[in-house]
Amino acid sequence: MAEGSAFTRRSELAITGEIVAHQREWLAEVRDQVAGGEPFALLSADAPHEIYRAFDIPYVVVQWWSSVIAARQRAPQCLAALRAAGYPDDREQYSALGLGELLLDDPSGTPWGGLPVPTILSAPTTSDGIRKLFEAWSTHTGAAFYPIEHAVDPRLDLPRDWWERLPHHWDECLGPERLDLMADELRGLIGVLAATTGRSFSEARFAEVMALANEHAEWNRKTRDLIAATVPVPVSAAETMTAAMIPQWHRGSEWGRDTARRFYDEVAARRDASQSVCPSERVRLMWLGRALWSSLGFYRQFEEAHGAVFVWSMYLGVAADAYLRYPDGRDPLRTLAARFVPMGEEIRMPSWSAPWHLKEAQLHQVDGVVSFGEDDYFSTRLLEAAGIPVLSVRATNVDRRTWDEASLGALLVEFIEEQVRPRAERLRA
Amino acid sequence: MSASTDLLSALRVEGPLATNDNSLPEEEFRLLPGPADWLDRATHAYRHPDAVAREWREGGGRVVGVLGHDVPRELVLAAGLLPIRLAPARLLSNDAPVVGGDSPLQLTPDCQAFLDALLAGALGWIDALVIGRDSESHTKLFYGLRELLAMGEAPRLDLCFYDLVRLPTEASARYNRVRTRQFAEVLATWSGAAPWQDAMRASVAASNATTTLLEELADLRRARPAGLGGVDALLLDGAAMTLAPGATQDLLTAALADPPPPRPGRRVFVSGSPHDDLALAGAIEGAGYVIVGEDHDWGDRSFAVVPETADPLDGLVDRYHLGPPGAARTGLDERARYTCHQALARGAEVVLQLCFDHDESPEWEFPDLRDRLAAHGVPVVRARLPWPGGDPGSLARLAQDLSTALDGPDG
Ligand code: SF4
Ligand code: SF4
Repeated sequence: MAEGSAFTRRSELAITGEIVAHQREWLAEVRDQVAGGEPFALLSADAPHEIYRAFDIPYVVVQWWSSVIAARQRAPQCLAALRAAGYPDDREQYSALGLGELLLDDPSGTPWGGLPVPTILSAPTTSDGIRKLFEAWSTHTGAAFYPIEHAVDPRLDLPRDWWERLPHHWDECLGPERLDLMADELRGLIGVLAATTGRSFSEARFAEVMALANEHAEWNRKTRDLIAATVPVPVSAAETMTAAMIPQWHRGSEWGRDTARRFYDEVAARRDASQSVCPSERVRLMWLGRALWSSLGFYRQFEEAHGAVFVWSMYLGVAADAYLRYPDGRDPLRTLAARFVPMGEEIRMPSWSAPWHLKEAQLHQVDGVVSFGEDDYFSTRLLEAAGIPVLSVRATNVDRRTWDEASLGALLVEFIEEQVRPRAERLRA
Repeated sequence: MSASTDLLSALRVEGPLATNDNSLPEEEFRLLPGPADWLDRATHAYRHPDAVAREWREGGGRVVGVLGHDVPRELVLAAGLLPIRLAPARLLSNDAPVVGGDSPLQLTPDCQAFLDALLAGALGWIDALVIGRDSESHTKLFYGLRELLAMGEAPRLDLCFYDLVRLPTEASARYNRVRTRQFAEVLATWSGAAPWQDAMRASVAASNATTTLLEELADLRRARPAGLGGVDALLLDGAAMTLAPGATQDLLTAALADPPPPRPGRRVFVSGSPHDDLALAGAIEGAGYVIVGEDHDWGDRSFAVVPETADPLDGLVDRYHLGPPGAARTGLDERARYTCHQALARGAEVVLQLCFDHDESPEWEFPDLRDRLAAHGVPVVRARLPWPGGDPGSLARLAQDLSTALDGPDG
C-alpha cells in the first residue's frame, strides 16, 4: 500500500509557516544545548509541562514527535524496529514511534535533524502499556523515567459541563482526593528535578508560567469562538491542527502566548476581509479523533467538489476548553494539578466527551461528524439524537496498514453526499 | 492424564454451563465418574458461582460481585458480605458462546462479555458490583456502565469503582487509603454494617489462613515431579475467590490431605494476560506439560499475606498496593523481576507468555523477560491469542512451539 500522500497541503495562514519554522530553529537550539550538557526531557502530551518550563528544562512532546515521524512517512520503519527488538508494533503506537526511531538508529532518514537523546522521560499512568513503554525507553537511553500517578474519578454522578466549571470552580468540580494526589506528585517531581538537574524552582517564575498559559488558552478560546461563529469558515481544521498544536507545547512561554494571539489576529483579519478557505461552503464537518498527520492535505479535497469543509478538530477545541485554570488566590501548584487531574478525560471519558462533542458541534454549526479511531459510542448517540449524522471509522492515524487515502476519501464522499448534504440543505432552506 | 483433565473434557459435552439457568437439575451435571471429592467441590464453585451465591443469600446474606483482582476482598467480608470474583468467560452459557465480535462501546472482549451478561440479566444473583482498576479496560467499562445507568439502559444495581493506584510512593499510599476508607463506607451502606476494625482484623486473619493453605498447595507445584497441575490450581484458586473463607479452607485442607498423583511432564510457567480458561491450561497439560506456576491473578498472583498492622486497613492497602505485580499497571522492571523469580522458584523449564489480542501491557515485557531468563537457560515462548482462549488449532501450535523451544525443531 502506498504510504505517501497524494495531497499537497496548501497553507492557509502565514502564521503556520512561521510556527513550523520556529519549531525547527528551536529544536536545533535544543540540540546544541543538549550537546553542551543541558538536560532534555521527552514528555507525554498529558504530563505537567509547566514544571519543566519553570525550571527552563527544554522538552519535546512524544506524541508531537510521532506526528513528525508519521508526516515524514517514516512510521512503518519505526514500527518494524520495535518489532525487531521484541516489542509489540501495534500497541501504544502514537507514543511508541519515537522509541522505534531510536531503535532504528538511522540518523540519515531522521526528520528535522533528529531528536537529542533525552535525560528525562515522564508520562502519567493513563494506559496499561505506557509505563512499560517509557521504562523500556529509559533502558535504551539511560534517561531517568518519572511516572506520574493517574487516578480515576469513581463518582457515579459527575457534573457534565466541565468546560464551564473547570476554569474557576475546578476544586468543587474535581473533588479533593485526586487533587491532593496530583499536588503531591507535582511536589515530588519538583524535588526530584531540582536534585537531578541542580536547578532551583522559583515560585515567582512558576506563577508567571501559569499566567502565560492561561493567557495562551484565552487566545485559543477566542480563535475557536470566532471560527465557530463565522460562515463561511475563514480557516480549515487542517490548518488549525498545526497552528494550535505546536504552540501548545510552548505553553507557559511568551512565544506561546504571543503566537496564539497572532494566530487569532490572522484569523480575525480573514474574517474581517470576508476571506474563506471554502467560499462555496455548504457543509461544515467535524473531525473527531487524532489528525492524519501523514496526510493533512487529505482534509481539503472535499471543499471544491462538495462544498464540504472541516471546521473543527480537537486540537483547537481542547486548547480552547481544557487548559484554563485560574488560581483565584489559591495555590498555583494545586491549580496546575487541576489542569492535569482530568487531562484526557475531556476527550476519553464519555460523561465528559459526549456532551462536549455535542456542544462543540452545535457551536460550530456542524452538519456532519467524521469520527476516526475514537471510542465514540456515546458521542455518536448524542450527536445523532441531536440530528447530526456521524461516520465512524475504525483505524489508527499513524498506522497506514489500517487505512488508505483512496478508500477513506470515497467513504467520506458517500457520507457527505448521502447523509450530510441533504440535511444541511434542509436546514438552510 | 489427571482426573481434572478428564473432568474438563467431560464438561464440554455436558450441556449448558448457564449460570443463569435455574431450570437444570443438578443431577444432570452428575453424569461424570466421581473425581476426588475436593475436586468436585472446587469445580462446582468454579462453574457455578451463582449457586454459591444463592445458597449464601438463602441464609440471609448479600453478595458482592467483584470484577477484577485488585479489590480488597477482606474488606467486603469484614462488612458481612460475600465477595465473589466474576469471570466474564463463565458468565455466559455455552449456548451463547463469547464471540469476541465488535463491541459498540469498544470494550475489550472480556469487558464486553461481562456487560453482555449484565445487560442480559444473567447477574441477578449479585446484590452489588465493585469494579477494580486492574486495567484501563476496567476503567473504560466503568465509564460506559456509568453512562448506561444514567441513561436507564442498564439494570439498576449498586455499583462502586475501586481506584487503586500502583506507583510505590507515599502519595499513592495516601490516596489508596482515602479511597479504601470510602470503599468501606460504601460497603457499610450496602450491608448496614460498617467493616470496622475488629471485623477487619478477623477477616485479615481468615485471609491469611487461606493464603497459608494456598502456599502449601503451591509447594506441591514446586515439587519434582509436580504434585498439582495447572488446571487443578486454577480450579482451587478460582474456588477460593468464590467461596466464603470457612468453605475455602475446608476445600483446600481436603485437597492437601488427598492430593492427586504426582504429574511428570516438562515444567511450564505461564506468564502474560490474566486468564482462567481451563481449556487453555488443559490443552497445554494435555500435551504432556505441567504448568508449575503463573504470574497472573487467576492463579498464583491471587493470594498474598496481608500484613497485620495496628490499623488493619493499612496492612490491607499495602497488600493490594505493593503486592505481587500484575501485567497491567505495574512497571517493567518490577514485573519482569517478579516473573523471572517466580518461574525460577518453580523450576520452570520454559516460560510461556500468553497475551490476549486486546491486552496492551504484557508484550512490552517480552525482551526484558527473555533476556533475564536466557541468563538462567530458560527459553520464553510467546503467543497471542483471541480471548478467552483460542481454537484447538492454535492451542496445538502452542504446544508445538513449547516443544521446539525446549528441544529444537526436530525434538
Ligand atoms: S461443577 Fe459439579 S454440578 Fe457443576 S457441572 Fe461440574 S460436576 Fe456438575
Ligand atoms: S535474571 Fe537473575 S537477577 Fe534478574 S530477575 Fe532473574 S533471577 Fe533475578
